[in-house]
Amino acid sequence: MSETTSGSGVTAADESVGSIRRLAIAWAGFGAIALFASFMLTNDRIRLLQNPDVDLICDISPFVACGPVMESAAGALFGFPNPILGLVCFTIMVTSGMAILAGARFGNWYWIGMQLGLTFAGGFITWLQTQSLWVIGSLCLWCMVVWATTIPLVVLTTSFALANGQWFDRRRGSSWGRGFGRWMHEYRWVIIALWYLAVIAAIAATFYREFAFMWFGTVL
Amino acid sequence: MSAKNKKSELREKIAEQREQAAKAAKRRKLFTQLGIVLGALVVVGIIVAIVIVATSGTPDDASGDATPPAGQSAMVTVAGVSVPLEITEQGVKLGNADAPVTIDLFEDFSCPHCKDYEATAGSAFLQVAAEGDAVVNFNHINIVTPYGARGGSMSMCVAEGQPELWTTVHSALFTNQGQSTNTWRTGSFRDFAAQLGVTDQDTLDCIFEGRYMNWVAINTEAALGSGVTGTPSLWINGEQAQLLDSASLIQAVRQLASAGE
Repeated sequence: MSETTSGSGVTAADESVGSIRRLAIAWAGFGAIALFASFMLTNDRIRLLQNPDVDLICDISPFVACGPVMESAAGALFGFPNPILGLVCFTIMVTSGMAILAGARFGNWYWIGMQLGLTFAGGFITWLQTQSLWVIGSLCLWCMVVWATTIPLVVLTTSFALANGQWFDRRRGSSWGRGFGRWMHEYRWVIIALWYLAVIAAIAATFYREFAFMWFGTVL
Repeated sequence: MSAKNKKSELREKIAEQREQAAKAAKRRKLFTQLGIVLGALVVVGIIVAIVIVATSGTPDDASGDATPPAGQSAMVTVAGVSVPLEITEQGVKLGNADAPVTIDLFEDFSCPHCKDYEATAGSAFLQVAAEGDAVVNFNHINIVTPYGARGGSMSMCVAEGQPELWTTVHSALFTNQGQSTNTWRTGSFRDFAAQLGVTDQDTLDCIFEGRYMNWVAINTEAALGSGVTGTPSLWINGEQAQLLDSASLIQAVRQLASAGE
C-alpha cells in the first residue's frame, strides 16, 4: 500500500521512492569503476603513441583488443580521444555521489544537468557498441567496462529522478512522469538485466566464431 | 481484562497478516521480475542460436560463394618484365604458359610458416616466372584461421579487378599477417587494399563481400583430397619438393629448364 500511493498523496516531501543514499553509492561506485577504465584507456592511448609496438594489457586476443578500437575514427569522435570525456564526466559522477553521501542536496537544475549528461552517455555507448561490433570488429576491455557501468547509472538515475520529480519543483512534478518513474524504479534491475542481455547477445552473435576458436579451439 | 487481551490479540493478528501479505507481494514481485529476465534470456538465446546455425559452416560473415573467372588473363609487370597473369581454378597462374617448368605452391595467408616462406622465397618465385623458366601456380587454400579465407578472397578479387597490383597484394597479405589480423573482418581487408592502391570500386566491393571465401574453402577440400597435406607445400613439375630457399629454388628451376630444352 505504501508503495502504490499515487495521485493526491504527493504532499510529503520526504516520502521518496527508493533511497537517495543508495543512488549516491551507485554514482560513486560505478563512477569510480568507469573512471578507472577511462584512466586506463587514456594511459594506454598515450603509451601506444610513444611506442606503437607496446604490449597493452587490454590486447588479450586478436578480437579482444583495444588498439584497433582506440585508433579508430569512432575512438575520437569529437576530435580528441573519447576517454578524456570519460575522465571528466565520471569524476563528476563520483564527486556528486560523495557529495550526497556527505549530506548535500542538489537543486533541480543540477538533476537536469546530470540527466542530460547520462542520457547522452547512454546514447553514446550504444553508438560505440555498434561501431565496435560491426565497423571496427574488435572488443575493447576498458570500453566494455565503461559500457557495463554506464548502463546501470543511466537506468538507476533516470528512474529515481522521474519517480521523485527531481527535475521540477517536487509538488509540480507531473503525475504521469512519476507513475512511469515508479514503474521504472520497481523494474530497474530488470531493465538493466535486459539491456545487458541485448548487448551480450549482439556480441555473441557477432563474435561466436572467435569465442569458439579461443575457448574451445573449434572452427564453426 | 479479557476484552483488552482480545483487542491486542486481534491487533497482532492483523499486523501478522499484513506482514505476510507484504512478504507474499514481495515474493510475487521477485518472481515476476526473475520470470521476465529468464524469459528474455530464453528468447535471446534462441535468436542467437538461430543466428549461429544460420551463419556457421560457411567460412565467414560474408556471403561470398562466387567463383573467380578462371581463364581471365592480363599482362602484368614483374621485376621489370611483362608476364601473363591468369586466373585458374585454384588461384593465380603467373608466367608464360609454355615455360618448361611448372611450379605449384599451396599457401594459406593465415599460416605462419607460409608467411616465413614467403619472406624467404617469395621474390624467387616471381623471378623464375619473370625469367620465363617457370610458370607458377599460386593456389589459395585455408587451414589455420579465417584470415586465410578472407585474404584468399581478397587476392582473387585483386587478380580479377586490378591484376597489376596482385603481386604487391599477395606479398603484403603475408607481411601483414599477425595476431591482431587473424580476426580482421572484411571491412579491414577493404581498407588494407585501399592502402595498397586498390581503387577499382568493384574490386573493393568484392573484397568487402568476401566474394570468393567459399571458393577458398572448396579449394581447400579439393587440395587436401588430392594429396596436399599442409601449407606451404611446393610441387615442381607435379612432384612434391622440399621448401627450397630463394637461391636453391632459382638454381633448381634453371637446371630443370635447361635439361628440358
